[in-house]
Amino acid sequence: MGLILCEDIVADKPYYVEELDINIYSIEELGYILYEHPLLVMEDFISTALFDFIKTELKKESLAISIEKMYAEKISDENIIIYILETLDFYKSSEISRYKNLITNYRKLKRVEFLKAKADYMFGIKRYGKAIRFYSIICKQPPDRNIADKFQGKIWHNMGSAYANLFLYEKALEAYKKSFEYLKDNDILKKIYFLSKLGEDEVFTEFLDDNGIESIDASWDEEYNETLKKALASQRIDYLDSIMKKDSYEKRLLINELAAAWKQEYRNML
Amino acid sequence: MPVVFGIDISDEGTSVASDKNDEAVKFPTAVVKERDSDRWMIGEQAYEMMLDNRALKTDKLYTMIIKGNMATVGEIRYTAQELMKIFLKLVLDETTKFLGSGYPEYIVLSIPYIDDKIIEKFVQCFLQLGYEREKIHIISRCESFIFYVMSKKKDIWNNQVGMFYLADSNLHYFELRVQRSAKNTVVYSESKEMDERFNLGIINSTSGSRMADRILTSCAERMLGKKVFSTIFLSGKGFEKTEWAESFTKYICSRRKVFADEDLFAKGSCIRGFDFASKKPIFNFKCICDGRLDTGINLNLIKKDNEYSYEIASAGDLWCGKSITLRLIADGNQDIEFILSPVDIYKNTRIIKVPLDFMPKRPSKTLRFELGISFKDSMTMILDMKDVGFGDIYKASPQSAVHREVNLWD
Repeated sequence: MGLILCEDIVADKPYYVEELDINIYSIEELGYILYEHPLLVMEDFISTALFDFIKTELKKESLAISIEKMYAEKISDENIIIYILETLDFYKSSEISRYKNLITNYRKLKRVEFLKAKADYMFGIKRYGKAIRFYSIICKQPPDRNIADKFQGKIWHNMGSAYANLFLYEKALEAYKKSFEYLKDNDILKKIYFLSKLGEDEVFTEFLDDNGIESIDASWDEEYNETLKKALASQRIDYLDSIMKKDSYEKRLLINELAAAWKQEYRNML
Repeated sequence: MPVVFGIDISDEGTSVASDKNDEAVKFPTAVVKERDSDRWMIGEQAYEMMLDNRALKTDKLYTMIIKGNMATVGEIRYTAQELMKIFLKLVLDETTKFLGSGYPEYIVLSIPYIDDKIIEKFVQCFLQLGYEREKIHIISRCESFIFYVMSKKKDIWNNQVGMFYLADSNLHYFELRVQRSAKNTVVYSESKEMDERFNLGIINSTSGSRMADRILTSCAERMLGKKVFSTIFLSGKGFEKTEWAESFTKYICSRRKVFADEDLFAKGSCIRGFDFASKKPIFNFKCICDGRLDTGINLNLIKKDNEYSYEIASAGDLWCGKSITLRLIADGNQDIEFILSPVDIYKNTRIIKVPLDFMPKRPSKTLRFELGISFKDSMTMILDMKDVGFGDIYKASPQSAVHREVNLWD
């Protein structure tokens, strides 16, 4: 706990972090991204562009030279990141130790498990498009006896959820179906049912027939209706209703504003 | 040695001291403009022309610049600052001519009271006359009094030092004390305008001078009381002669040295000027007086695992024009703590907590805010704090800002 004095330097040309779709303007922001998003930065984050940014924009020439040398000597990305964090005045040694442990644990994971952790992380920060890319890589891996069905089922399930969050319901449905094949889980069946209700009900009937399922839980319809009711009573819908009651000029302005915000929100998810 | 001028200015007059002359060169604080010409003048010649109705006079230039007044001279409106610039230029011209010296490299101007705006106006005048900002210093009369006294031998200031300054229609009392410790030496000075006042014209009559003497004696008894003084100084036009103040002089001369010096402030400013001009400080003490802080201000910050103290201001620093801007990150704290350390050893160090409740809710390490620190006067610190966001990660919320005044004194 305490107050940290920031450095005076703010980059004129920021460094763009594609995975997060944000720009970095200061050394504190760089430190924060490295520390808070280890899964994003452990691979492919350390680059010559980053060294240039640290040197020319953040005016930290000696740090840039040191890490450039480490990079040339093929020192791992995570060790370079730890070196950067240790050089900054931003994190305590206890925080750095915690970070090192976290990195070590990630490195102990199998490749597919690491990719899943990365994809789940992307999902957690609502970068659904990027999460799907990582889930797809795992799914394209050649069949491996060491990869359990349960694991594959989870991958397809999470991919389905990512598609659903992007309103790509057909793709979501397909992914959930694959997941059900592996897991035979009632909750996944419920998700398939809900998604089919948003599209064509016959799809679900066919799916039940194909899988020899005779009936579904009677409470699902009630749950679906309750969820729909809640969604319709949400603040977002109230706000939309209030816009619709405005005069035409103001309505147009607010709709444009809202649409722009939604577009941006959606783009960030991709 | 560079040429240094110490100037004291008030409505009563302007004195210029330098090391070239024992006595200061004096001018009324007024400018005179020749009718139907662009010629400006000061001093005796100017007054003669004015008496012959060949010129127009504008006086009380010091009050004018404080109030920011305008004056119309020969159908042209001038700002107080423009007139002050003209006046100061002529003062420098006339003084250098009189002394046969070059123009000063360093100028220290003493004024009755320190105020941020007045200082800037005077600095602007000198900048427009071609002087460098670093070589222009505006100080209070208290400060010039300190340097005047401290340039004397130790027996002059071993105990307290008092001074009565008597001008046309005001009487001021100044007091100085030196506090020595193993760590440092601190010199305090403060001044007080006396409620008692009289027009100097009355001392020309027997009954008037008797009354003025009684007033001064009563002031001296009240101010000096039972305190131990090494020296009492007398300054100002009222003490050009002291025969009229028989009982006052008798009182102040008992058990202490008494000196009269009409040019005390100008000389003190000149001494201060040499201190500024010197590569190494000539005097080794902290100066606590009008225009300077009597409290050190620090912030506790962290760097990695260590806490350290960051100095915002040191006791003895000028509060006028002092402005600091820092960008800080609150890592889990609810407030910001200022450590106030009065230079006076009899006062305790205090901690003042200013809450950071104006900040939006964000994760630790992303609560970045800007802290602006300035001073309203020697006892009031002004804090301007605002959320500056954390880049694209957390945008700044413009409504998250706060303005606070912190009293530095108990």
